[in-house]
This record gives sequence, C-alpha cells and structure tokens, in this order.
Amino acid sequence: MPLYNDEAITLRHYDFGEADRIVSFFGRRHGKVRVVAKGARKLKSRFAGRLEPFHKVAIVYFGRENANLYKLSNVDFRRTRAAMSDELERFHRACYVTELMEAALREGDPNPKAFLAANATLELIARETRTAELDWITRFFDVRFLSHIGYTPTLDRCVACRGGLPETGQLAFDAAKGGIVCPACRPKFKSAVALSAGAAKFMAKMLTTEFGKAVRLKPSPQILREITSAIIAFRNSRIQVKMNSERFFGSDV
Amino acid sequence: MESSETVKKLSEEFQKLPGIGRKTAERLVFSLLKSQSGQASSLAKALTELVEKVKLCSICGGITEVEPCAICASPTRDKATICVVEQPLDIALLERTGSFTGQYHVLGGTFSPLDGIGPESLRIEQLIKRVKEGKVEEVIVATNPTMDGEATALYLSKVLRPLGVKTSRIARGVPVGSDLEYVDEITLVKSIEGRREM
Repeated sequence: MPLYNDEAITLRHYDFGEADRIVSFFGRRHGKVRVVAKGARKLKSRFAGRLEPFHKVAIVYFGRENANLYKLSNVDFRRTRAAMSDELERFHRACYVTELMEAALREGDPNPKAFLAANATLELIARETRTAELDWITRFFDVRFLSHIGYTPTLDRCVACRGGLPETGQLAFDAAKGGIVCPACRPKFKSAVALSAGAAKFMAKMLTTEFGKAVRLKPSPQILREITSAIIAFRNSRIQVKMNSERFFGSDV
Repeated sequence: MESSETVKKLSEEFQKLPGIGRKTAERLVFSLLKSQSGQASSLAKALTELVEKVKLCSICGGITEVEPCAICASPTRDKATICVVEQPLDIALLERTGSFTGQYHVLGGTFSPLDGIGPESLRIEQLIKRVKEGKVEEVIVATNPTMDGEATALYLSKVLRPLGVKTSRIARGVPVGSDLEYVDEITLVKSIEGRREM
C-alpha cells in the first residue's frame, strides 16, 4: 500500500467508533484527504493534540490509491495556531476558512495555490484581533481561493456586452453571470448587487496583490461593505453550500 | 441471521449505537438468543426502565431519576462552586475522582460554528440564570481542551465576568504516566505556562 507524505492544514475532525477520529486535511501535494486516526481520542495517543483544526502539520498516511479513507501513520506540527481560540472573532473567521475549504475542495484534487492562500490567510487571522481587519482578510481569502479553484470573477470589462467599464460612477456585480455589469447592461440584470467603480477596481486589485501585502491594502468601510455583498453573492452562486460559521461573525461578547 | 425480521430489526437497532458495526450487532443478537438465564428479558426491562425513569435534571442537566438530581439536592455540596461540563457523562467521570464537592452544569456540547452550533444551542442561559439567582462565587469551565472547547470557555468567561463571579479553567498539561517524548508541543507549552511552585 502506498505511503503518502504531505504538508497539510487540518480542516476538522469527527469522532469515529470507540476511540478513533476521522480527520480531514488539505494537503499541499495531494489535496484534500480524509484519514482515520486510530485511537486518537485515547489519553496516550501520539496523535491526540495534533489533530485540532487550523494547524499546519506534516502528515504521513497510507491506503489504496484514490481511496475514500486513508489511515494516519504520523502527524507533526509545522506551525501551531493554538491562539485561534483566544479570540472569538478570530475563531469564527478561522472556522469559516476551513468550512469553505471543506465545501469547495474535491478529495484527492491537488491545488498548491489554494493551499498557500489558505495557509497565508490562517496565519494572518492568527495574528489579528480587530474585527474590521478580520472581515477584510476573510474577503481577501474568498476572492483568491475561489479564483484558485477556478472561479475568477470578470472585473476588467462588462460581463454581458464585453465592453469597457467607466472609471467612476455606479456599476453592478451579477453573481450568476460572474462579473461586473456596465450601467448600460444593468437593467437586464435585476439580481445584480450595486458596486461602485472604486470597489470594482479594488476587487481587481485583490486578485493580484500578494498575501503579505493584503493587510496594507485596507479598503474603506464603504468599499468593504460593497465588495462583501458582491463576493458573498458570487461565492453562493458558485459553491451553493450554506456557510454555517458565517452567521457568527460579529457575535463576540 | 437475517431469516427473522425480529432479529434483523434488533441488529439494526444495535448498529445505531456508537462503536457498533454489523458484525458486532449480529454477535450481540446471537448472544442474547443463546442466553439461558433470561438475559434478553432482563436487558429489555432495563431498557424500558431507562426510557421511563431516567431524565435530565432541570437544574444541572445531568442524568437523574428524581427531580432535582442527588447532587443538586444535596445539602452537603458546595453551592458556591459550579463546574461546567459538556456532557452528562463528564459528571460521572468527575464524581469518580471524589475531589470535587461543588455542583455541576451540563452545557450539552460546545460551540461548533461549522455545524451551526452557537451559544443559543447550549444551556448557557440556564447557567447565567443560576449564577444570577444563586450564591455562586466560582464557575470552573471543564469543557474539552479542543479548539471548540476553548472557544466555548472563552465565551463563558466573557458572559460571566460582568456578573462578578470568578471564572476558572481546568488545568492542561502532561498526563500522569505519560512520556514527555510523546506529548505534543501545544500541551507542553500549556504545561509550562501553567506550572506551579513546589
């Protein structure tokens, strides 16, 4: 049976049987995999504390090729993120990131760019405490992650007439069509959300800015509100899974 | 085994229990069929009594046959200290140690944003009510040391602090009888942070 080595992000785990756990990882080289960690709930398990979500780990697992469920052989920390549960806002954002990965990624489908985006996002979330910054990081992740898995919104021209976009004024974003709609085409798209030209430009910048520089981009509250509506509508139209963790945003005590 | 509908049904019922697969369920059914000393009737009676008599205590949420439960009704238990646990089973585990003399409060789980479980799904309102109405001085949060358990503990500390009650968290560290070589880094860090003077 082949043995697989990978660097991975722990997404979540479920209790299984008497003392085992099924753990979902997003691996850099092998994509999303589900593995059984035998005896993981026992006090003396060598896995126990290393299977919590959000950490970056090195995993060794084995099983038949293209199996639905592998067996975990070893797990070691590469980057611990225990601080995620020190702040509820931070915790909810990290949950959202892993939930989106669980919903959108197919098992055994490698996507190193999506892995790097998720890892960089969790790293930023682990260091951040301000709600506005966390909102921004989460939306930055949405755009980049969706783009890496094949859903890049059209932001440089009208998605309907393919014409150029005005530099200023009010545009719209149609999630089903997957991009910006110019003022002339706007009446044909009743469900499109309003988006200013400034917010559209900002969204385009999000697709090319490095993660390390994302925090410095800092949109204004108005632009953040506009791009949040557009991104959520776009994500919902493409992923079509209700994000449970999202309703807890802003519910810190 | 599956020539009888009754046998098949019982086997399926056993399979709904945690940790029981098809083979184990069939072994259990076969064992009951073979038993001579009325084991099956006795099991059926125990199950009926379980359903009819056992309920959750209206105060702490623990398992009981009388209302309120023996711990909540006991005049010798320390009413100023409440230990918050995730499940009723955790009460039995802590009681087995014999080291805690206060009262309990069962939350019924922990936060799990991925499953849509937040504070409103847990028995947090009931805990706040107990703290407000009783003479509680300390709440010990004994949720599991998982990400979800830690986030729940953090939430509890935030909602209880304004009520003027001391909130503490059970200690985390190296398990007794284990080997440092096999302890994960986070546990080691927590055990050093939570060290005590000797």
